[in-house]
Amino acid sequence: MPPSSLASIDNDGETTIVEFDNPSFLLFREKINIKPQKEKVLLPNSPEHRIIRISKLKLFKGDRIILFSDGVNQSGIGRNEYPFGWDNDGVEEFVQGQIDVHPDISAHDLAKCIVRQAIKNDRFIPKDDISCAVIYLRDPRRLLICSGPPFNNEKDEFLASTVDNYPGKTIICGGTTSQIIARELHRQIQIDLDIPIGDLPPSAKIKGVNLVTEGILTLGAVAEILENNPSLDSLPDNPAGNIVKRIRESDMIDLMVGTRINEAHQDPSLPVELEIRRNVIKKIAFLLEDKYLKKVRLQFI
Amino acid sequence: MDQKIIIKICVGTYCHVMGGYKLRELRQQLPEALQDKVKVEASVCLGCSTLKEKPQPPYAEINGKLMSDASLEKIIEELQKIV
Repeated sequence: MPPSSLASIDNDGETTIVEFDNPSFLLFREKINIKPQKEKVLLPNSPEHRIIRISKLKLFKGDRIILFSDGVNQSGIGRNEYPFGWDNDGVEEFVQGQIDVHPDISAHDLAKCIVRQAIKNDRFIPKDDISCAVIYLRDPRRLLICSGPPFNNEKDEFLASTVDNYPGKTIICGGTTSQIIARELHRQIQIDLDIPIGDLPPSAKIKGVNLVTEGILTLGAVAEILENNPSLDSLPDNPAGNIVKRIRESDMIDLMVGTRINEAHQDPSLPVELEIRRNVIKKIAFLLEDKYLKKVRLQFI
Repeated sequence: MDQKIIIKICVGTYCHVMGGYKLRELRQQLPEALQDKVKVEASVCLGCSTLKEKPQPPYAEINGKLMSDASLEKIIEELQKIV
């Protein structure tokens, strides 16, 4: 059996962590490194008397669990700075430093900087498997994406106040939609013409809204990116890439879709076929649930 | 002329796919004589979705007056007439 670590966490925080041959996991609670008790169990029928360590604990909001392979704590071994490797103490100190400086650091970013430091310790030529997984218990991050004018313009005010009062990040996709929201909230739309010209229309800014983009072309590009599933570091630097980045950073995504048809898009002389907004959004919703395990709520107005 | 001419180019979906994306180069393409006299802005929609009879997109707006079938050449020509 190869070295392994398993963490099983219930909805209420009841947790079991089973470790075999891996360095001991770290638990940080409110910036404090806690050493939970571990039960050692002899593996039955193992000729080498191998043991597994089992920890049962209850996790709370703000807790972080850090699991890593021995390529991490043994990184740098033999070098003057680390004759015995980075060591568990070194990893703990590093994580403590990161959490002290960035108390809200995401699980993704913390795992990434631990791995990067370990590779650096090995002078950028890793001598072993360097893996790290971080679990961070926090409130779900919410994101609202609005696209399309409401079918009935009596709902314009509702749309604008939903955006204004949303407990999370907000994105508006669509020119007419952003004009409605700017009008209802008495705010200006500012478009930055200095950003490079690409395939997609430029994004804009409305005070209090995190991102404002064009509608159907950008959403089509979002669906395409989500289908291809590139790594977070290689997302395109355009409005669609920015939307995907925000989506990936969120856990719960509310999609509010206006169903009024844009007459201008019905022009048969259009050189491209503009897909129906509802279909693109449904595709995005499906991908987010199926491929990215996000909680999605879809509302048509 | 003290006041600058305000020109808005439409960056909405309809205008973008009908060639409006080329208008985003306007600032770089302005003749030197016009550069200090013109302010280039953008609009997410100049109102095509509300117009009953749609003139040919893409649209631009020069001092509040809508120009249809806009191109860099057409806009610059119009600006030179005003200055």
